[in-house]
Amino acid sequence: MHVEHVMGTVVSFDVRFTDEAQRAPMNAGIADAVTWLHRVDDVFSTYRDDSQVSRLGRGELRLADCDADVEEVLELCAQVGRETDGYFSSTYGGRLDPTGVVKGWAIQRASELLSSAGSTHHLVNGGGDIQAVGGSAPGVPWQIGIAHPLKRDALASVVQLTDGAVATSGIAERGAHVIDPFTGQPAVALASVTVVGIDLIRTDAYATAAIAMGERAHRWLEGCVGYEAFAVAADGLRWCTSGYSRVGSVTAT
Amino acid sequence: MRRFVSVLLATVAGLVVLLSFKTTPAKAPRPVALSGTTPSASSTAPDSSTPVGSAATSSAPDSSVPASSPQPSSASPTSAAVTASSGPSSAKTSPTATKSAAKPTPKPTAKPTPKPTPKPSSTTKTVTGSVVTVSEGRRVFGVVQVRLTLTNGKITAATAIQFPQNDGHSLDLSNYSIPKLSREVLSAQSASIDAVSSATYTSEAYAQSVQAALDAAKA
Repeated sequence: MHVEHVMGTVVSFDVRFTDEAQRAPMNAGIADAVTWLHRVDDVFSTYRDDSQVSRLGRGELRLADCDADVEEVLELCAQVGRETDGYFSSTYGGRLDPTGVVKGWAIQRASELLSSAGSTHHLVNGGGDIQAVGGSAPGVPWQIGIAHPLKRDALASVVQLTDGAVATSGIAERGAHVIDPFTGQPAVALASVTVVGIDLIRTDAYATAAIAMGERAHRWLEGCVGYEAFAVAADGLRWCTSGYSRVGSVTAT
Repeated sequence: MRRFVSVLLATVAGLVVLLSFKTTPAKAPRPVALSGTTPSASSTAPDSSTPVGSAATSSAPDSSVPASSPQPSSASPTSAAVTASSGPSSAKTSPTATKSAAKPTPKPTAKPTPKPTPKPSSTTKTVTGSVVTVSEGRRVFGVVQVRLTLTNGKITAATAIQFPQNDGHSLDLSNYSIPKLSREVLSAQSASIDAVSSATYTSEAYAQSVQAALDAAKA
């Protein structure tokens, strides 16, 4: 277990192994992943005036002068923007802000670094967004609770996942409301949306986009092949996509 | 190198804590008819790599043993200590040790049950999870520590006794109560949760989250 404060949140690494000989390479893998996350923070943070993304946004830096990762992320933002019918946006308040893709992308890459180090069973949880590999043991899927957005003392659902990603978005991200880009108004119809899929980049971005979509999100998510979703509306009513029961169960409360 | 000394992959301990909740009652060394809160001895986790002493708890070295686990996860030098609170001279208890420690004491409340529970009994324990170090690159951002109370192997209370503040300094919460953790942890326990997905939380919110409790149990 390693817990790292980075990117404005806390990232938990849960790496399972059976052979003591794996301890050193697993620790090395976590070290690589942590170094990677701090590097991402240095390059992409919109909270740091000297990050490449901040300087790019102010026009002080050209894209060609940035790390190749910046171009990759901006391309991902453009793709996700198209896939979400424009509900996902890489600008916030008129400023360049690819944060909505960066976190999922960075955590997914951190998970890949652990796999490269030889890990076959691990889970990386970055502020509630999870990339999981291999189950907690051979044949045992990870059990992932979905926090209830309206009840502090309850889980709204439980997802069983061997390999894949789970991301949950709410109406307030980092204290700021998610804005419907087409109305300019805060999105308030859904209290939280959870998306389950293979890659954390899209599960995270789709969950955020779904919050912005509001009532339209259910039908849109139903059409996302390879992704399942669960949502709690602002009035407490819950819904899920038709295939969600394959990955998750909904609690009684 | 970065600080990984305190971050070894001690998944066993967490599983011990989580699993022992369920297995302990069946293996309790001494049946005790009381339920609820007996005067519980708390114990600190014998974590030599812990950078912060847990002043919040009083050590009970004579009645605590490191838990061990049959899990396939790696063995860990760090584990939560489990203390039976059935009395000042309580028997040592751990998921493995109690098998041989069971005594044929008459059980006033014993009733035949179809479950494979040889010794139904009521015990209250306090488990202090290991300190979880929240790192930030080379420095320590803060620590999180959770104390759990178990009755008949089920969590009946969970309290964060330390967590990092905004400035990264850990706040000792020994004199405070954060009962809101309890029911969340109860929910997580009933589903054997490994992790919790939630709308983006800040590091401050993390400290009071079920994820933090799970991390604490695993550390």
